[in-house]
Amino acid sequence: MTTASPVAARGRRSVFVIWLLALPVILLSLGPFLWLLKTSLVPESRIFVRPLEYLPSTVTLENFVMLFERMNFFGYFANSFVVALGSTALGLVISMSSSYAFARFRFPGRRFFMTLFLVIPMFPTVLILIPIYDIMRVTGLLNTYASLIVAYSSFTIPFAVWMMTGYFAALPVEMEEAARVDGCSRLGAFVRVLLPTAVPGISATALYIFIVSWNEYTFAAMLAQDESVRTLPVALQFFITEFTVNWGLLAAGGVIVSLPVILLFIVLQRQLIAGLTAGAVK
Amino acid sequence: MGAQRTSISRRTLLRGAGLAAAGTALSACIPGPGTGGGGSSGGSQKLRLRYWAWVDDPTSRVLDDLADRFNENHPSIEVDVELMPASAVYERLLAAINAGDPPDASAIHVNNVADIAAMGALHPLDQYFDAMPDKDDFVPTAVLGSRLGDESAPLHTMPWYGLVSYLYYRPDWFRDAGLPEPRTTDDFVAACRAITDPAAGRYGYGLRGATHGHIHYFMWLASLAGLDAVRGPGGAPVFHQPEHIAGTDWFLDLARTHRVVPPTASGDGFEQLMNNMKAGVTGTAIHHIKSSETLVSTLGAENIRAVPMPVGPSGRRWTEFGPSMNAVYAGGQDPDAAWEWVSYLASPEAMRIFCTEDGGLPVRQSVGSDPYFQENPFAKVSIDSLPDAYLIPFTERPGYARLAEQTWPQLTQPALSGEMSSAEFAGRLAEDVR
Amino acid sequence: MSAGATAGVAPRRTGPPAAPVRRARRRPRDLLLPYLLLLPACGVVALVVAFPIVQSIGYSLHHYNLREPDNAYFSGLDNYVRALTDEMFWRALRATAIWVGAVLPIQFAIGMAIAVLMNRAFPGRLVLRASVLLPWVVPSAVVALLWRWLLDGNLGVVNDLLIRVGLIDTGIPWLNDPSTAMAVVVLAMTWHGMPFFALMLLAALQAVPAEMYEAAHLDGASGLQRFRYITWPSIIDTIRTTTLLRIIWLANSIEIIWIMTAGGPNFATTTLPVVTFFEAVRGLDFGYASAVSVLLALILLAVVHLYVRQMRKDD
Repeated sequence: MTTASPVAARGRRSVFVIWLLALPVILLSLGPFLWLLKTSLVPESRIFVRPLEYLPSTVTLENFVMLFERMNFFGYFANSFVVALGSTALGLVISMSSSYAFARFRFPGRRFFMTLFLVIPMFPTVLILIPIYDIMRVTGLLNTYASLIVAYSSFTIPFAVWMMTGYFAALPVEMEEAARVDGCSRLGAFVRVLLPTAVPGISATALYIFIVSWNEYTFAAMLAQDESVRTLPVALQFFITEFTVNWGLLAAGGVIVSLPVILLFIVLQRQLIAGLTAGAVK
Repeated sequence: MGAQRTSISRRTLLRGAGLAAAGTALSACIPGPGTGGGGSSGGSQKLRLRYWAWVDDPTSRVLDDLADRFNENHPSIEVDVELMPASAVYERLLAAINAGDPPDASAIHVNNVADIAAMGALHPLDQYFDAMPDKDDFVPTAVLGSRLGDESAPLHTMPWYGLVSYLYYRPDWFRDAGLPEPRTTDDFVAACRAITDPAAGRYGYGLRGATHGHIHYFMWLASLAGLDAVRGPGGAPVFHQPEHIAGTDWFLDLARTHRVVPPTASGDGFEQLMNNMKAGVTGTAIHHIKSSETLVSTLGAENIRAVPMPVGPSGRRWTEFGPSMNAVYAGGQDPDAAWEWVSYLASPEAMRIFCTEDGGLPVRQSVGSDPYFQENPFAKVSIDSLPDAYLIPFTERPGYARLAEQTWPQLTQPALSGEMSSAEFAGRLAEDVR
Repeated sequence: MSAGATAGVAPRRTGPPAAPVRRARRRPRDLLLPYLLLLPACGVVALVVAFPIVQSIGYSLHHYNLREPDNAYFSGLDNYVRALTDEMFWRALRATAIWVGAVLPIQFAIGMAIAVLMNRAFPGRLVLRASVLLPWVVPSAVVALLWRWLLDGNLGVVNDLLIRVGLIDTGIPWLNDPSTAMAVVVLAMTWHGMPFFALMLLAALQAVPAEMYEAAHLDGASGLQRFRYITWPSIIDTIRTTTLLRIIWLANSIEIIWIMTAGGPNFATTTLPVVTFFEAVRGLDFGYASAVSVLLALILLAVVHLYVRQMRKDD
């Protein structure tokens, strides 16, 4: 019997160690979600029973069917996607512009503006909620995608601007200068040189804006209550009624809302890693 | 702003001139529906009536169906039903009233009526109601509920349907323990003691210590010693006074002495109450007909039963009437048209359809005598309890929401554990609604 | 030594508030350019949040209760005096500090560990990546209700598991005891928020050029040394930004607490935003609620100020 080479043995050992560390993380992340999943799959009469059932004795897809057949969940999905993608696009563009200014220029008021962005999230939503309704009504944006896209972009600006300023500032300015010497415009240098190298930071920021917009409830309930623009978190809230929580439907909805984002993330991760490698080769 | 003036009109304070100007400028730039979320007619002569409501079953279309029926018979009005989650309605109403653009009508929770009325946002309905030929068909408790329990107050809202609280119990547990149906408060305490078995995680009574659990507390106090032991003349609280503190002692003793409530009681809300009934944690709990379906489907019809609130030593019982109602807004487009709609919802036809579908109780005597409601055992107990059912005291007082949603849920933990005395507990609650 | 070698390879890192890389040219267009670049963000912010914030500050100086629409008047600092002399304010401030002070480091530590794990190539990594994000993408209301159920004293899964493994005999009413309530809302929030740190830190780790590790490896640097001299300096900006923004965000977050405990029992989890919510939505006292919020914002500004000053000192 041949003994494995020391290097391979060490590799195996480190994989073992990594999994030893990863397993609790996976269990902790997944555990509560699995309970939600189980709840979504059992008939209503089996949800609250003693002793607790970890493995359901009967499984049904009734709750999921209900969401799509008796309620307009396809429509809510589409609305949530439009709002989340729109917020991500708008939020990224305007934040990037500011981040570039903060990272590449020194100008009077720079520190003031950076701090100003931090003041935005310092006020509780409850106080912003009522005046914002008035603003959206007066501007004619109430019950439109635009109201949520504008609102979510502005709530995510502070984080997005600070994050991307850090990324941009960390990248050496010399490459952009070289590109400009070669005849690139400032915008050209930004798009061709800075953006590709800042991909990890930008995509993390994009993911942040997307998830925040995807899951936001309070403002959506206030500004976009109309069926035609209703987003998933608002639809889910319909299962928390005045007198009870409809756990079967709520759990099914919670699962349905979460999974697409996970899939999107996995796909993006692959793209992202591919993009990084490509950039390194150039 | 306003340092020179001692008082500023609400409008000025609410919407600075800056916003108004910015808004005008922006709406000029942004193409879109010209009147924003407004419901004014676009081209046609029809009045688009905005109506906000919530329903317990999100898959139900009953309100849209009723609106369709109404619209067919009212060529000049088109009711636009906007359903929203129950938790979203109130904040949205506040914002819309603030913005000077309320809906024309909405369903409204009884706890919010006093505040919204104080804001001057409600259109009183007395003159319309008084002109109804069949107004005597309405259950008096429901009409009084729309006056927030005060005969001399205006009719703030239109009665729609109602809910009456009663006691759910597990007949199988009672049978096994050889206990009779709980008819009196003494029966009740004895039964709770008999079926409680902490080692098995079984408790007699699902006490609601979370928000709005004060409803059950006041029901017990009034059943034990009459409403006069809760509320004095003029509506001021008296339940905390030394001569009435025995009621609070009785209530807290369920946890302190008899230990017949689960250790989670201080944080249990209606959801936990019902889950605990379903899972066999508790043997009795107070709630209303809206829980009956899910309890029956989990436990089986033979293992869940309802009785009216147990009677106290005085021989009287007192239970909660929870009115559901519709409001017409003073700032709406056309209060007359809005009245047409909310009075249609309270018509025998619409009330029968809605209550059959949604599970509430009709507040018209003619509809309540319908076989459908008489044959459902839970509706029957509710309707039988109606003569003893009233609006919870203090609902009309400005501090009521604080009592229900802050003081009560925060203090049940120290009170039920015995850290806080009955007198202090009752005193703190009374302070809110003085 | 490795330290010197790696320091040479490290890209120039400047914290966001530190000296920018490039000086604006003297051309007038370039002097204006940064302001033009800030314009879109400032415009959106001005439209959506600036007015409500200014309005809140205005309200805080007024007696202003929606219930008394015709009785609004300028009241100077009355609302502030009322807040600062109310025992509830100080209790809530303390609860807010505990809440932020507990959630932040735990979330950060777990997030950091996950990011380091995720940054390594190993078989089955996809399982880790997919499951790690889950807690963040479940809507907050569902997270709060789910944890409330998991921690329920009678029907909770946590108690059930603890009883099964024999750690406890009877269920513990976690949410109904002032001594445990804060700990378990912190647990729920930690669960919900740990992917945030994991992903942001992962992005920072991915931006560290692999060549730097190779160079350090050749120099014979240990794993710990590589972390200390390469990884840490490369991700410190991200750490500062994420923690700073998270402090502000956590101090204002309310949904998890409100749904799980509504600030109870006996005010054990009543943070300042809970007070604000209550005074505004239930009490309709927008003057007082605004004053409480302005005070919280001022405290946060002070924290930000100290934080940023510390960051500059470190640089």
